Amino acid sequence: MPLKLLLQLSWRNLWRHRRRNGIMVLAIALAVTGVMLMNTLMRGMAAEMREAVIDNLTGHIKVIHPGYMADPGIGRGFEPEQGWERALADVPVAGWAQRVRVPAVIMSERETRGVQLVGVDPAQETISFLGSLSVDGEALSGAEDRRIVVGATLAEQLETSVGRRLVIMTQGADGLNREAGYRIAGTYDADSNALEKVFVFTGAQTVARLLESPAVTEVSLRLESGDDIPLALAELGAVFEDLDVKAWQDLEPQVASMVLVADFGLYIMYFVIMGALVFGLVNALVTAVMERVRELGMLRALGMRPRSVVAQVVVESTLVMTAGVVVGLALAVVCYLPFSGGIDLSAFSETMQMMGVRNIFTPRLEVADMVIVFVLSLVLGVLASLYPARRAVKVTPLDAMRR
Amino acid sequence: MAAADIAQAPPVAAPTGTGSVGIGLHMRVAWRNLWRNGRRTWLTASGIAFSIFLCVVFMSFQLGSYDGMIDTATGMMSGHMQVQQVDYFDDPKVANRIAGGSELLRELEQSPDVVAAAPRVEGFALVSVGERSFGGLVMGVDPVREPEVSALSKQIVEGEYLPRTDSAYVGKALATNLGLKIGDEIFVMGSALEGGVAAALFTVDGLFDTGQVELDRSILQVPLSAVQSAFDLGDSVHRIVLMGRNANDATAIAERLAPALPEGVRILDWDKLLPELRQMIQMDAVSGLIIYVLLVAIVTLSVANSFTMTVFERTREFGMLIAIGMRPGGIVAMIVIEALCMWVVGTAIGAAISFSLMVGLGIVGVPIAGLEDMAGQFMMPERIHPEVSFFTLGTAPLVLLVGTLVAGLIPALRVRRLKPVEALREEE
Repeated sequence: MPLKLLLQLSWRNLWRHRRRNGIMVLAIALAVTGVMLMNTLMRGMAAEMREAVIDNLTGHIKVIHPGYMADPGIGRGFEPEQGWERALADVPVAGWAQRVRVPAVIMSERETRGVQLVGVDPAQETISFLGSLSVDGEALSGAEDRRIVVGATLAEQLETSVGRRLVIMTQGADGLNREAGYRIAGTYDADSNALEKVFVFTGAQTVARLLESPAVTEVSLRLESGDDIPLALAELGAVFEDLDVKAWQDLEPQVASMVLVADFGLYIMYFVIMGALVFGLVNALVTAVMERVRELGMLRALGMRPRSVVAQVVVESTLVMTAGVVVGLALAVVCYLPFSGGIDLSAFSETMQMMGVRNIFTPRLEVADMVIVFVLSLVLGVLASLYPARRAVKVTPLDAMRR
Repeated sequence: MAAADIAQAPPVAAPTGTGSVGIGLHMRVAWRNLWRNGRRTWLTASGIAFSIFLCVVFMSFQLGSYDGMIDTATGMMSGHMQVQQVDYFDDPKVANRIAGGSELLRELEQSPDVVAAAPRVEGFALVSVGERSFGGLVMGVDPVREPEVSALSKQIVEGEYLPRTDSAYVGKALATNLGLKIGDEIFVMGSALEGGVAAALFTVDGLFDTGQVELDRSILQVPLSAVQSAFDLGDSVHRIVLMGRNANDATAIAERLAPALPEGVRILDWDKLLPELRQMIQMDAVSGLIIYVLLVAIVTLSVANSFTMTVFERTREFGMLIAIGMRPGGIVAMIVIEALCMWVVGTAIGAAISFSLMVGLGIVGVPIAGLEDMAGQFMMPERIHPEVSFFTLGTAPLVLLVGTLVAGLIPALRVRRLKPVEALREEE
């Protein structure tokens, strides 16, 4: 039977029961919209968490000494060779930064706190949150800058302010304590209070002078695209032979597993919700077949092949599914658009900060996910029609005449 | 004669008041009607069963994991409640202390609501071993009371928990970083109350490993009195950690205890001590709610669809029933009872499977395999016990009962507009 005729027959059959098929389309649309909107939230959350950890001095890839994680300190530093970045000629790199990061104790006249002292070259820090930080007072001018920049929350805790001095105490490579006083150039305001309490920044050479060591403790890279990570890992591994070259997924396994959960979440939600839907769809299709026993019997008597009968039911099911999915996806886009710029979630700020998400939350509607939902629905539509189609094929001209 | 007989014959069934037929008959007819199209009934009931199963399982696990999360999170450090100086929570500095700590502790322990109480003194200090040093939080605790409010003492991997007055209980990561082993001496130095130097010498007698590196390398516990004297604190404490019988009662207990506290001291429940925990639970609950609402809405729609089909197919039958004297209201009632029976079948299946599964798992608990990393980060316990309560088991069936009745009622109301003559002419 020509496809056009098949479509025409199925289409008209559907319109014979507008109400019934309308309810089905509505139910499918509702399910698809719900699944898509939940998915945009999960995707947005995962993307924010990923961006946040990459921004928080991790980058896409980090090179560290194998012992640094267990014992962070200048004793676990290294000196990268000049021009190491040339090894990455064929991977587009957004930027890289060499830092000295050591645990330190910071003291004001009144209070004492434990912090991470980070020596940076501000020109390289366009790749981290430091590049886009809003600083009250002055930012660091260069790697030679001998002043420090502290978080606003830490400054409050230390009861100090811009222009005053703080004493920093830390260990040199020999394990002996070093201490020195530094003037506060500015205080910064980060998305998370936790960051503000932990990181104290100064020029890389200032830290080198304090520690009497030219070594750095980490090299952080940001690539143009996260897809290039495996390639970059391989190439860097060849340059930094005795060091650990790690992707952010290894450095921040919790966040990486959350991102993975978001990937699976779409399928789980889809099958949970659509599972409930399939019962209704099969029901409507079987009813449609049983109502047409006479008609189907006659068509068979006139010479319609069983194959065409099956095709008709499958096409009907797929049409209902397609209509529902198209309406559902359209609805999801309509609901999504007003929020595509971001939702203010300050009410949940503590959790968000703990999970590394900013106060303004941006959901993400991804075309790839819409395609997945569409394709899955077509497959489900065909599967749902199998049983009704089998019923339809079993109808013989004799059954029809007995009616 | 014949006409007179008929006239005198007792009226059959028709005018027996408003009810016309008994509920028993209605039930029987509805039940039989339901099985006239067994396939449809099974399919619709399976839809109901499926969504009840999903909702019950999800809800039990969700609520079960909350209780586990709250117990684990409050049991680690914070306790169910804490008594603190009013400014201490926002500004945890040594000077924001509760004077007369032991007196207040004794009073709080007398309260029947308080199962356990333990005082703490905290101060940031430089911990040094030989030439190496590290900034950390020094926590002065009561070695006898502390284990009753915090799980830290149970995370011991080596040695003993504070056996002497100069013992220190140190995280394994901190010990590794400083090259410490049991029996080594550590020197602790910080700023005391009056701006002087607080210094004390301790011996490492125990090591703990919580799995959270941050905690393991930044905290050490030592006996309360040693910290009090080193920091010039006298009898002052910073926190009195309280445990009630159940974490869920914390807010109520806190309200009862608050009026008896001295001035300048307040009580905080875990809701306020760990705001991120409550928010995480709320966020999770909201996303769960969306899924439940979707599931219920979709099943309600498919039940409505099923009844729309039923009602349309039986137009002729209904027309005849009306023609022989059944009231439209009676037919509506019959259809609603059919919907009710449908719900009973679906719920029986869904509830039988999910209830037995949840009760079983509720006793045994389900280990969270492969999620140890996340379990640490998100304060999850190692095993989830799904919550088995009227709320988790009953909500989905009851909401779907309403949904099913509405789904049956709406198409049924059409019957009231039915004209018997037209209905009888309708094609079968």
